[in-house]
Amino acid sequence: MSGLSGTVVAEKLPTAPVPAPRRGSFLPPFRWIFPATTLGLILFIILPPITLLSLSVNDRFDLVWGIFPAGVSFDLYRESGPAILRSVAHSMRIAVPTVILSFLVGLPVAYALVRLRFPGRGLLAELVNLPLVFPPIVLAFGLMQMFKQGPFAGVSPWVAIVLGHTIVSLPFMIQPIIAALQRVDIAVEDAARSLGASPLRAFLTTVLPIIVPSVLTGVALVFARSISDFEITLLLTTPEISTMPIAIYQAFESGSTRLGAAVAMATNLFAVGVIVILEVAVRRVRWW
Amino acid sequence: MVNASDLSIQSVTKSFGPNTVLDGISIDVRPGEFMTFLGPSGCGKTTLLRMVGGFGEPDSGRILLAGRDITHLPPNQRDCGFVFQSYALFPHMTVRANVAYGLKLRKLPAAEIESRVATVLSMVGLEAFADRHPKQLSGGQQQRVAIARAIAIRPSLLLMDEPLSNLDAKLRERIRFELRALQKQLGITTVFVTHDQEEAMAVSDRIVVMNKGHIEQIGTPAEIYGEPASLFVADFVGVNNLVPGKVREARGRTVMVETAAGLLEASHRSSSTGENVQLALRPEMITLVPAGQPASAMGGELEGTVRMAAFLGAATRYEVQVSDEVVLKVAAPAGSPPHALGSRVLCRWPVESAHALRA
Ligand SMILES: Nc1ncnc2c1ncn2[C@@H]1O[C@H](COP(=O)(O)OP(=O)(O)O)[C@@H](O)[C@H]1O
Ligand SMILES: [Mg+2]
Repeated sequence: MSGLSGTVVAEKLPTAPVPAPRRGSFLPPFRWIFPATTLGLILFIILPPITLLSLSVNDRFDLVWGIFPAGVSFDLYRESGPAILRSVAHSMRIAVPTVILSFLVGLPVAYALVRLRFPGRGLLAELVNLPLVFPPIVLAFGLMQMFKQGPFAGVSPWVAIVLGHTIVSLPFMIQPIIAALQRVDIAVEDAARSLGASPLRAFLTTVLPIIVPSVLTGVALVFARSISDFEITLLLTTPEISTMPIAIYQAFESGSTRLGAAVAMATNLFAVGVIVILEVAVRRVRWW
Repeated sequence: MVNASDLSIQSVTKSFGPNTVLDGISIDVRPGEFMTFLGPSGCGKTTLLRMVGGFGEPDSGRILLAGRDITHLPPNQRDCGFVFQSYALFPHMTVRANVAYGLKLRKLPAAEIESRVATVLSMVGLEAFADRHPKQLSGGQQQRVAIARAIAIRPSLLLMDEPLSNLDAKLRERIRFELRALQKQLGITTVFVTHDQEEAMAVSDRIVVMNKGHIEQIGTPAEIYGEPASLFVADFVGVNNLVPGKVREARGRTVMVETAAGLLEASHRSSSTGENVQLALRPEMITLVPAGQPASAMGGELEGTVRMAAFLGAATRYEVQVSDEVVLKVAAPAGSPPHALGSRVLCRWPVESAHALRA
């Protein structure tokens, strides 16, 4: 068949007019498809929270016209205010130690993976990413058993939850730091050493300041992962601990979709606020 | 400055796994001397220099700085300024802060830090750039900051690993001379690493030619240039006439070598009768004269035919067929009378510029 089309082309060639250059071929790929996909993306990111918002403030709700306000009232927020504040506080009491612990564990691990050669390095590199591919519920189930019996029995549920969150959050701290360290000239540390700095001092005064933006990216990601966690918290929690996702779940469980929506909206607002602040911080500290 | 120290590297050996990277290296650097480690990539220059700076310990051997054994001291206790190939400037600090870094660690009073930073920045001509970040400087300027930062701490030893290799050719040549002048002005003992023989010749008091982890020759640029001690050195420093032969007879300082182009006299170090050698002769040491002139009283002389002539501006390169198997490359300085292709010429050279090197 290719032979046939070959002869056809060959016969036509002498008489074929010179084809006009096609202007479209100069344009980059995806030029026509990307506005549509972007619009779709925006809609599907923005619709769920809008739906929840409308659900939480309207006294009447139907799926078709629900996003338009009718009889707006903030009663539900007022009612569930204390519960919302409590869940925000609980989430923070878990997220903040999780971020700190992830940093303290993640920084040396990332440094070792990038700068040191040791037996088992390849294995460790795979291991730190494992929580990303593990279904969280499996991990949570395992952790629950560990803290219920065995050597960890009797550990405070707060501690258990922070440990669980740290394990699943570590890749989010380690990966940005690894990427940043790979971009830092190894000789920078050597230079500091030759100028008189001890190993730790050389790291703290030269490498760490350079990678701060990536550390903050890690902080934002770990924070987001921790405050949005459901499975791990659910399986390790006790009735007195109610993080934001747990509170939302409990509100829905209590039979009130609209109450659940109110709690969800309030906590969502808080989470987005914190992440935005961190994002701004990341941008600010790129000082050179 | 008067704190020039001598450096003594004694029988240093280093292996990485099965490969021996440094094989019993001994070098003595005199106070205030500009010493260069010259050799091809992978010969162990960086490994040796880093060891002097405290980055890595030898498997055996010692390193003494001003008589003190520093073999096992960490870099921050050695008092060596180090200039890295990549400059390794601190990107988040201004030029001023980069230079002041070592001084702050020494807990000097703020006023003294300020005046010392100003002094070294003016030495390298960067006073006007003190408040810039490294990213805002050209490659040459970054290079100067790296040097300023290293000398600001007034080290007893300045170590530089191919500091000019990331610069373009013109800038490289200029900074070469500035570096040399600065080093002499400070009188600081300096070890410089390069794979560029021309650069080594231009800056050094003495040169260590290294090959595969051992030393081929230590000598002044003139010695390395004029009297290469081995075939490797001759080849590496650009001697490109190598004529194989056999030693017929040794006569004290010179030997007679039987080559395909006849019996030739050459200077030697330790050749003995019957040994296979290569006769090394620099193209620029050969003078061309038209054939038929009276024989010269001293030196080597071979008659041949001009096979190739290329005008290169500063010199004209010829290739002269002096026997069936031997072609001599000749570099004639600008202004010397030209020789046409195919013409018969005499190649003449002083005996001491021909070297019989063990093959
Ligand atoms: N940390 C190391 N591990 C293993 N081999 C190394 C290490 N550092 C250097 N080498 C080897 O030692 C040899 C000399 O390297 P180097 O000192 O960098 O040479 P040069 O600076 O002369 O180019 C090279 O073959 C290099 O591969
Ligand atoms: Mg090197």
